[in-house]
Amino acid sequence: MASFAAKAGKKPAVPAAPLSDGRFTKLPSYLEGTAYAEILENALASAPDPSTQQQQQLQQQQQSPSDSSFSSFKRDSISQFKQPGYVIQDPLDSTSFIVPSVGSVDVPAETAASVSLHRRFGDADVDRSSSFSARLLESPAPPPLPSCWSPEGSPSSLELSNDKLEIIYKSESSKPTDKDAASMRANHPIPPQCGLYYFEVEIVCGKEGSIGIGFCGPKMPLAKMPGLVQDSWGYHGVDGNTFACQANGMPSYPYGPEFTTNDVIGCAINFRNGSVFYTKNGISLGIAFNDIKESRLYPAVGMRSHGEHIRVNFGQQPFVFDIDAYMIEEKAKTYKQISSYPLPAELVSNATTAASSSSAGGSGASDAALSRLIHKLIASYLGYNGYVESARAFADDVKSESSAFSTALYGRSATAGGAADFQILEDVETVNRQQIRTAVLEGNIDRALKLAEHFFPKVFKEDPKILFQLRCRKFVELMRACALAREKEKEGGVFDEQAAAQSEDQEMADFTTIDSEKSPSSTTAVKNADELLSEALKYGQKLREDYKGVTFPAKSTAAPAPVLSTSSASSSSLSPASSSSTPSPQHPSSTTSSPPVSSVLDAQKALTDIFSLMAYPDPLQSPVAHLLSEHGRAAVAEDLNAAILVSEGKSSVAPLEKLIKHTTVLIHELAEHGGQASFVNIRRDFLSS
Amino acid sequence: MISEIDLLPLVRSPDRGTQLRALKALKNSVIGHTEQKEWYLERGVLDDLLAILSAEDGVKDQYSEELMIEAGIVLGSFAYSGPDISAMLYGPETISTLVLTLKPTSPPKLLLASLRTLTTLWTAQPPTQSLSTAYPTLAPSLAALLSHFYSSAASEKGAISYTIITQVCGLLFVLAPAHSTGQSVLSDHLAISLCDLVDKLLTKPNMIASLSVSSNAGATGLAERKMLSSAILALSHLMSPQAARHLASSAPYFMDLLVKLLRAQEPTIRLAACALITTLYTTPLSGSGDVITGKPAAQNTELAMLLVPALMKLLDDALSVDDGRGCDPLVLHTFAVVCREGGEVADRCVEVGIIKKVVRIIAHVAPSTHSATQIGKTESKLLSGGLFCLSALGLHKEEYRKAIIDANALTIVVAVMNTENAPAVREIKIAACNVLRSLSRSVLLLRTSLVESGIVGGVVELLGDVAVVQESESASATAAGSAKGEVLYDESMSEVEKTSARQKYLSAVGGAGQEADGVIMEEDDDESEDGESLEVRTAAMAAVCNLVLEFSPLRKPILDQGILPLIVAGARSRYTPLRLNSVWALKHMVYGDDMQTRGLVLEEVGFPLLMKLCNDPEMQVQEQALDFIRNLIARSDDYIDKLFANVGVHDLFELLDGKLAMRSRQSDDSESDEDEDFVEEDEGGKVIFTTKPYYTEIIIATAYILVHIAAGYEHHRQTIIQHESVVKKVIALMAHEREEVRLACLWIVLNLTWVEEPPRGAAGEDLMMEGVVDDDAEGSSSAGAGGESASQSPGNYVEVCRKRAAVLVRLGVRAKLAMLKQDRVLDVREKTKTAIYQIDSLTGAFTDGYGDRREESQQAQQVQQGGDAMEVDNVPVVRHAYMYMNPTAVASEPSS
Repeated sequence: MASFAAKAGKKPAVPAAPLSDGRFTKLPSYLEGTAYAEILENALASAPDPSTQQQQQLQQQQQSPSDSSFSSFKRDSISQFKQPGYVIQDPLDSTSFIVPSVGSVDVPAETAASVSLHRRFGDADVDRSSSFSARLLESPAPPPLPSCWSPEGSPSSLELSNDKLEIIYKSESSKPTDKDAASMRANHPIPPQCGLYYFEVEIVCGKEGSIGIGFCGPKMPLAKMPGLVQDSWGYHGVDGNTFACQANGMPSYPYGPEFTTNDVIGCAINFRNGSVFYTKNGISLGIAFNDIKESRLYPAVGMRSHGEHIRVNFGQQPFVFDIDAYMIEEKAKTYKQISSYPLPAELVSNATTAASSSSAGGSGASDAALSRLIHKLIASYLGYNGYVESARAFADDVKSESSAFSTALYGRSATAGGAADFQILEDVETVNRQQIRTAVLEGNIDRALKLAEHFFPKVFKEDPKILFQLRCRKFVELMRACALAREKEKEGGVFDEQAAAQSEDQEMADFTTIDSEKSPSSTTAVKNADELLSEALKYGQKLREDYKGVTFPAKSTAAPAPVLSTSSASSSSLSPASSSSTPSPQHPSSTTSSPPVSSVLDAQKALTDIFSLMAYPDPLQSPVAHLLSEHGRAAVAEDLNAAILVSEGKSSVAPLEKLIKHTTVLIHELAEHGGQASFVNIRRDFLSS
Repeated sequence: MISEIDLLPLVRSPDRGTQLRALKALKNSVIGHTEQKEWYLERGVLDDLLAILSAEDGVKDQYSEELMIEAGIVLGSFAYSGPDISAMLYGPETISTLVLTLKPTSPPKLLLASLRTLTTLWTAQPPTQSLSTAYPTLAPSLAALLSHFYSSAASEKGAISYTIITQVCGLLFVLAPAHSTGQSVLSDHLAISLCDLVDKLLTKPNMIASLSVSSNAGATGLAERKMLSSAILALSHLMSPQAARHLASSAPYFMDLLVKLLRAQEPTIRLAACALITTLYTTPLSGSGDVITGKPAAQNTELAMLLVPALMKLLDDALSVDDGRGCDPLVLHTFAVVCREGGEVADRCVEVGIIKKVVRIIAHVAPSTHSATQIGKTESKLLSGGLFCLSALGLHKEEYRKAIIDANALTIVVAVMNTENAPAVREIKIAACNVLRSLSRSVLLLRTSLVESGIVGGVVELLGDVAVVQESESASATAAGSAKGEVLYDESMSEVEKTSARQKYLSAVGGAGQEADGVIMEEDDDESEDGESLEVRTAAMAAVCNLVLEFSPLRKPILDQGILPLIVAGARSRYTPLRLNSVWALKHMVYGDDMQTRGLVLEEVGFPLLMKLCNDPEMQVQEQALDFIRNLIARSDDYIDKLFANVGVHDLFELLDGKLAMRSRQSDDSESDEDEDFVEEDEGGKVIFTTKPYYTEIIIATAYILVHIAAGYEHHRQTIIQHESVVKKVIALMAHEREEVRLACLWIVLNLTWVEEPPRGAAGEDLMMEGVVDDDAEGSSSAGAGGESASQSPGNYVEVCRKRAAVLVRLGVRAKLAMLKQDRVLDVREKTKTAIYQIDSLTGAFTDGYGDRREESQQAQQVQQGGDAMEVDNVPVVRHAYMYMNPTAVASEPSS
């Protein structure tokens, strides 16, 4: 059997490269959108195909880490992502050009420039004090899905073909007996985290019908049929019976119809309740086993007669049975259970006492408490992120609604107690932060710097990294203006910077309330592309000088000042993922071995990245055009906002975000060994529209 | 109880403003108040409302639109308030007024009200006549609404447009029930509009994706999804089989989209897709025990395989809640259609337990008492759907039938059969009869479960529904029949039946009261009643068919209840399905050895009716009537003589001659390309006959009549040979593509050339089975015959045989036999050898090389097949074979 892999012309299996053997170009459809799938996809995206890795190493060896060669390397790394295989998203869509930290768990890049939630909720960087986040960082790579059969330990009568997806039974024995039974299991155990697991076996040739389909643990002796021996479960085609960990001669359970050639038998394990059902030709046959508690289970199939031949579908192909619908139903059941769960008593009582004098008990009080809590969360979120107008409108809304509500319920005496809470963050500081954010989003970095300096003088001292980020963005904005100007010139006519500036002013005037002074950039006279370019170059040189050899340590209580990097050269050992400025982390498993490095923002690398813009005559059409995208502003604005909040002694994230993060982590923990939590995916089910 | 103010005078006010206010007040006072509604209806408010609705287009002022809307809403509220009140509305005037409001230019609110009202009224009383005749504007109007509101949905008012289209589709669904006898109630044009609409909807970008399981609901609006499902459902009902087949074959992308819908998130859309796909791949279900539908269309098994899981999921989901009480009846009806196709599809349904599941659902809604009042509309639909499903399965395999019995379905059937007859339970009764019919195909069940079930009373009662009618009708028919050439099924029967039906309906409706009679007694209602009652009788007759077979223990109890006149009455019916089933039952009654019953049946039927039926416009009736003759004269020279005497040899052979030459008889039939019916093809030197399938069946039946005559007395045999035109056709048909035809013709030749050498003892040790009752070889009849020996001297006798052989040779039998020597069917080849031997020995062409042929010939003769006909429904079930009356047997009989 050991020679089999060679015979089949397979490359030796690569350990610890989940799904990267190319067997899945796409996850099984029913797992799409589960938390497990997302984690798996991330892990995959950040752990590229080993062959590509080798290729990159080769490239790195061939090319010196100079600026000019760097861009070409980047092109390669981008094209690597375009290779077929497990590519979840195109890094060209990436929106932020600087990733404040690496090692976050929830990784796919934000593609939508949604105004409401720029930040990734799972981003471990957001609150470093959270122990949950720390746990997230350390969470190991999720176990992979079974993707093919594994001949290991199976009797030699079973032969594999078709990329290890088909098994043929070959034997001399003309009259098969139980002694001829042979089973094979899949290459990986089923990860209970997926909540529901399903695979289908097509009977290519049924012969005597002595095929058994099921699953087994690691201890199952493979010279038996699944179900007829310890640690195994099976549904047998010859009689349609099911067997659970039985020795031969034990009574079987009549279960479903018999099956043979051309039938497609499916097997589903539901980790929500440990139940198993089979399907035949796309039709559910009902529960076969209950209370399966083992956590290491492999898909398994057993045969007995010469010529029997099966083909498995572990999800690489669409299934005959509509397992997607079943998944949705299971999910609905879970959510139904969650929503029927009573609110914790202390929450209800707290809210009730804190609120008005109304003493309505029961679910009414509980509902009221819950809605008050939700209102508070929303209001604080809006405030934290500087959506002043929205926060104000929301508060008004809630006020009028709750007063109407309480009037209706308790008479006029009741006041909208909760409404007052919403004013907390609606203060000068919030308004200022909003102005700063607006400036960044406008691309007016100078103005943002100025405002920040003015209102929050501590912020750049405490967090030099954010200043660096802003300055980098300023450079990008200059390059952007230059590129746009050149484009305009090419179209004919001189770029009317004046007009552009004026319109910019106009826009600014709409929201400027405190500082009516015009920002430097807008007061400058008409500039052509060349002038802009020289300005950008000058600024870039300054930037490089200022940050030469500087690196930023992980945000901590440590010294706020920039730390000179001891080995700036080491920074060139970039992972392809980060070099493409995808906000991808390193492989989570590697974080455990490499300490805070992961959260270090490498200034040199960031500079290299943005300077690559200069390598192209027309950066807008270049492979690094994404750096110029306006979406990048949002990320900077987010980070600046967070930095200001921290400098003001506040948590950098709103309680709502914190709540979501914590819940995400809890669910992740809960789902590790199966169970209902697997059916919950906070991000997808609640945060994506 | 009555409002303080009588609003009627105000409604009739000439001042439009007052009128409008009054209507609004009226609306508020009647909605939800049945007494108010009755009170106003009794005072003639209906006329006022209709007058407002049908106001001339010319009188357009600020009020006219609002007045119409209010009137429409009030009318609608009347329609929704149950059968008593909606019966007071039902009438051609109401309907036609409402139909006239269906214009794209009408205000949407009015359209919605009118559409809802029409749907409610037609749901309560399905239209039976052709709607295109009664309301010629209906179909074009509906088509116009569809296209107008689909295009306007894109622009503004999306939601209301969708709702209107949904309503139109809902109405279409009601108007074209899948099992309706009149698929033609609506025009094809409408089906095309609807098809177009569904096509546009499905091909809308992202439509399919937005319906899928994984998409977040809401991507496609609720109104739009409702519209889609109702449009697909309506299309599934509206499509003619031809259109369906055309679409299925010509638009593969459309099928692909439909298949994708089978996994839509919303169950209603999945169900609609199931229904439409089912329509596209099967012939429509006849829900009425109508056995006329042709052979199933070539089925697309792959499609069906996709269909079954989707349907099963709908059924399982229904079962998981409240044990299936809330199951959509359409799920079961669709299953019935799918299962009716039999084959692998039915196997797959059965193996995953459909029978138990269906029984589980219908057990809840089955009537527990004799009273029919407890059965609601939905329960009734669920029950009939489930029973249809079981009967559809039972048609196919013995193991299915056994599973049906094991699932205890018979209890439900018996409960239904023993429920009092009422219009509300008609459909269920029909369905129950269908189950009985299916189950009675099993000889085993016929002798066991069915005997114990106590169904006889119920079945006979259904047929005896018109017992009183039958008496008079039978008398008049006999009278009519005695005068040759008169119409045998006259008008009197349906007249009397109408009266009884009307009385029944009125008693069922009960509360409608005297005043309402005028409305109810419209022509339409009578027609509908007549039709439904006929359907019940037809279904009951189908169930009776197998119960009256000779070996059925139920035969005697049923006959004892005086069923024979009822069956003969059915054979005179103008309603083709009933006539067909009745003749079928009669055919079964004259099958077998029970000469006494044969005599009774023949007496009741009479030769004039028999001849009439042999020339029935409906091919299948002809076939059954010919089979009746075949069974009648089998093994009985007496009956051959009776046939000759009563029909006349000349007329009989003219009839048989015509049947053997179906082409010429049907050449004036414009519906088909007649040249194809009866074709001699030169195929590699062989001349092959092909005829259309239903002609072939008639040819077979006719040929076996000749086989029996040829097995009769010498003078019977001579009669055949004297009709050279018939013999020529028989010889020509020896080249027919169907082996049954070739075999029958060979038998004729064999019987005509058989020479009895030494007189032998009674024949009948052997018998040959050509077919069996499915897997069950029950009921084979024993041989044995009587007759008189040939009166001629042996020499003379042989000489006559020789002459017959000479005629056959002259007419070219040798060439055909030579050809058949290479036939692909073994049986044909063997019979051919024997025939060649017999002819050669008679004509002196006998040469060595035939070896023991003589002996073989004798052996062959011993097992020669008379083959009388006992078939059930469309599917041949039993073909009993026994010793035909050959000279061997004759010699053994004591001569008289």
